[in-house]
Amino acid sequence: MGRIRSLEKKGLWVMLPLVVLAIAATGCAKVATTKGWAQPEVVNKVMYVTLDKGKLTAVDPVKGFTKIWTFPAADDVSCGGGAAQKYTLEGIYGQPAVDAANVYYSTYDGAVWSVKQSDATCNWRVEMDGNLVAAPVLKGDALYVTSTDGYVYELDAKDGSQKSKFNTGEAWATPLLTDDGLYVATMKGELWKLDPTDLHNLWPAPFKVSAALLTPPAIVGDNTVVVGGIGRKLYGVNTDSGQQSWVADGSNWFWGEPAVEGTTLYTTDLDGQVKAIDGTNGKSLWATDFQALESIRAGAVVVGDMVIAVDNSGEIYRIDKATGTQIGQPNLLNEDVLTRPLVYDLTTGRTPAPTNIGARVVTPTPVSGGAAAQALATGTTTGSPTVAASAAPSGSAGGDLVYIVTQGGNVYEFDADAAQTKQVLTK
Amino acid sequence: MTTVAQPAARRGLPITGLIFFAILSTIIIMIVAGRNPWNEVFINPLINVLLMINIITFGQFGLTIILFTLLLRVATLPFTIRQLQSTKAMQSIQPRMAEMQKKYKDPKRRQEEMMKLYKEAGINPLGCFGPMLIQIVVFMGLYRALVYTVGGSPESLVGLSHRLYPLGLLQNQIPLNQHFLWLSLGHPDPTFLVPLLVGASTYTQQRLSITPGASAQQQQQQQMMTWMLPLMLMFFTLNLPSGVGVYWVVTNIFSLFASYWVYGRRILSWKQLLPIPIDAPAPAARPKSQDDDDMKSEEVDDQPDDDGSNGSGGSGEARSQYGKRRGKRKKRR
Repeated sequence: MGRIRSLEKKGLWVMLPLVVLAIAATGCAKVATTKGWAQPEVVNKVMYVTLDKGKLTAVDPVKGFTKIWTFPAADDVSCGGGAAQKYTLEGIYGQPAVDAANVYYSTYDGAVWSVKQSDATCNWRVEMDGNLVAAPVLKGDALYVTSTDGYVYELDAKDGSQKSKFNTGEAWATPLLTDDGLYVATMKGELWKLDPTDLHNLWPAPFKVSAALLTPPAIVGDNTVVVGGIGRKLYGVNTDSGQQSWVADGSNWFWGEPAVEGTTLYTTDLDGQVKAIDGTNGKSLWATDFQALESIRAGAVVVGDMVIAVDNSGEIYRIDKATGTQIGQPNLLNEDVLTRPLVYDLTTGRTPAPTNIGARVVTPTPVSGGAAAQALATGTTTGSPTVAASAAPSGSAGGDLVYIVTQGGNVYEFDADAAQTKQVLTK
Repeated sequence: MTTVAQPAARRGLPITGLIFFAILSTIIIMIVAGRNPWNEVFINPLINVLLMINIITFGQFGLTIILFTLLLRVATLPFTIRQLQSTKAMQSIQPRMAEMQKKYKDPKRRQEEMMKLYKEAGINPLGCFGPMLIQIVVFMGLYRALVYTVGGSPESLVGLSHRLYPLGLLQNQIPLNQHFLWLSLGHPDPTFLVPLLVGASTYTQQRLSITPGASAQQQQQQQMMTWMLPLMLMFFTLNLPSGVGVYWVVTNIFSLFASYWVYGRRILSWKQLLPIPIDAPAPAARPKSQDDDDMKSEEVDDQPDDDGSNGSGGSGEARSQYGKRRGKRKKRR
C-alpha cells in the first residue's frame, strides 16, 4: 500500500536525489579553486607573500609583519598608465621574482605582472596562452616564463614584451637558471637544457622519461641536475651530456622542490616520505626514510642540523639531518599547507642557503648566503636575482626562522630550535 | 512431479540481498579502517577506469568520457530497457487507470485497484528510479573524478596522486589532455552550448517518458519535472566541468536511441516534444456492461465485506487476475 502511495509522490522521489546532487555539486565546487601555493620571497627586508587568491602582499617582517601594500588593492587595475580593467584573479603558484625596483609574479590564468616595490603600481601585465604554475625566473632584464601552452618565453622585464620563445612542451615546474643554462622540466617527461640568451637547445636531445616531471630541477654537486615527478622516481642527469646518471625510487609522486646541501639532496613525496639522497649516485643516506603522517606537496628546507618538512595537513616535522629520525613531536598548524616554507633570519634579513634549491640563479662566485642575500643584508641591490649560490654554505645561523604560509592565507613563524609556532600574519 | 518455476523477482532476491550485504559489509569495514567508502569503492575505481579508457582513445579525454558513457549505458541496458518497457506498459494501462480514477473515490481502494493493475501489467511503479539513480550517482562521481583528473587546478592534481593505482600505464596518462572540441573539460563551457544541449536533451528525454492520460495530479507532477529537471541540470552544468555535461548529453542521446528501440516511431512525433499536455490514447471501446454498473455500485457501497475484505472482495489470486475475476463474475451471473 505504501508503495502505491509513494507513486503518488513520485515527484518528491525524483526531487530527492536531485537535491542531494545539488548539495554535492555546490559543496564540492571548492575543490576546483586555484588558491595557489607561492613560496614567499624576502628582499630588502620586505616579504612578498600571497595571502589571498591572486593577490600579492608586501609586509615588513621586522616591524611586526605590518602590511605595506596588497596588489591589486581594488577590482579594477590599471597597468602602465592604461585604462583600468577588471581581472578575474587566479592563484599564484610561483615565488615572486624581485629586482632592484620591481616584483614580478605570474598567476594561474596566464598573466605575468610587474609591480613597483615602492607603491605597488602596476608597470605592465602580459598574458600567455596557457596557465602559469611555474615561477618566473629573472636574470638582468630577461624574465623567463614557462607555460602550460608548451612554450618557454623570454620576456623583457622592462615592458613585458616577448624576446624569444621555445617549444618544450607543457611545463609546471619552475625552471632552473644557472650560468650553464636554463633547465626546463616538462609534463611530457622531458628535461631540456636551453641557452638562456636565445633559448636554443644545448643538449642533442632532451632527457626523456615516461611520466610527467613536476619538481623544479636542482643542481647537485658539479654536474648533476636532479628532477622527479609522477613516475615516482627521481633522476640524476649529467648537466653536460643530458644522459641519466642515476635513478632513485620514491613511494609516490615527487613534487616539492628538493633541498640541496653540498651533494646531499633532501626530497619529499606525496606519500609523505622524506629522503636524504646522495646526489652523486642516487643512494639513500638514511637507514630508514622519514615518514610523515600525510602527503607532502611542499619541499623541505634545511635549518641548521635539521630538515624541516611540513605535510599537507600542516604538521611540522623536525628531522635529524644526519640520521633521518624525528626530533621531538610534530607541531600542528591545523591548516592545510602546500607551500614550501621560507627560511629567514629576521635580525640580519638573510635568507640562508640552501634556498638555491630549485634555485632561480646560481651566481658564478658564491658568497655566504648568496649574492642577492648579501645585497639584502647590506641593503644594496644588484638588479640581479634573488637567490643564493648552489655551493653556498648551509644557513644554520641561530636566528633562522621558518615561515610557513597556509592555504587559508595565514603565515606562521616556526622556531625550529624551540619547536614553537607563532602566527604572525592573517589574511 | 513437476518443477514449478520460481518467479524471476523471487529468484533474484537472494542475489540482490547478497550484493546488498556485500556492499554494506565493505562500507562498514572501510569506515572502521578509516577509509572513505565513497572514494574507495566508487570514485577511485572510476578515475582509474577513465584513465584505462584514455589509453584506448590515445589520450583524447573527451572521447574517453564518451566511450565510458556508452560502455556504462550498454552495461546498464537491461535496466534501461526494463524502465522503458515499464513506462510503455504504464501508458498502455492509462485508459483503465483513468477509469479507476473516476470510479473509485476512496483513495485506499483506488490504490489497491491500481496496484492490481500494475501487477497484472507487470509494472514496478518504482522501477524507473533504478536507472535514474545509477545515472545520478555516476553524474556525481564523474564530477568528482573530473575535478581530480582535469580539474583545472594544480590543487586537484595533488589529490589525484593517492587515487591512481600504482601502474605505470596509468601514471603516464597524467596530465590528461583536457581539450576536446571547443571545450576545456575541467572547466565550465564558456559558450554555454553544453548546458543548452544538456537542457534540450534532458527535456526531450523527459517529454518522451511522460505517461499520457495520467491523473491531473500526476500530469502536474510530470509537467513540473519536464521543466524542472532540464533547468536544474542546465544550471548545474553552467558551473560544473564541461566534461560532466558531455557525459549527460551522451547519456541522453543513448536514452533516446533506447526509447526509439522500445517505442518505435512514436519517438519521431514532434507533437510529443511540444510543451503541451499529452492526450491519453483513446480507451478501447467497450460496450457498457452490467459489470460496469456493478463496479459503480461497488464504489458506492465501498464497505468491507463480512469476511473483512473490502468491496472488491476476493482472494489475492483473484486480485491479481483482474480480467479473469470479471469473467468469473459474469459466469456466476
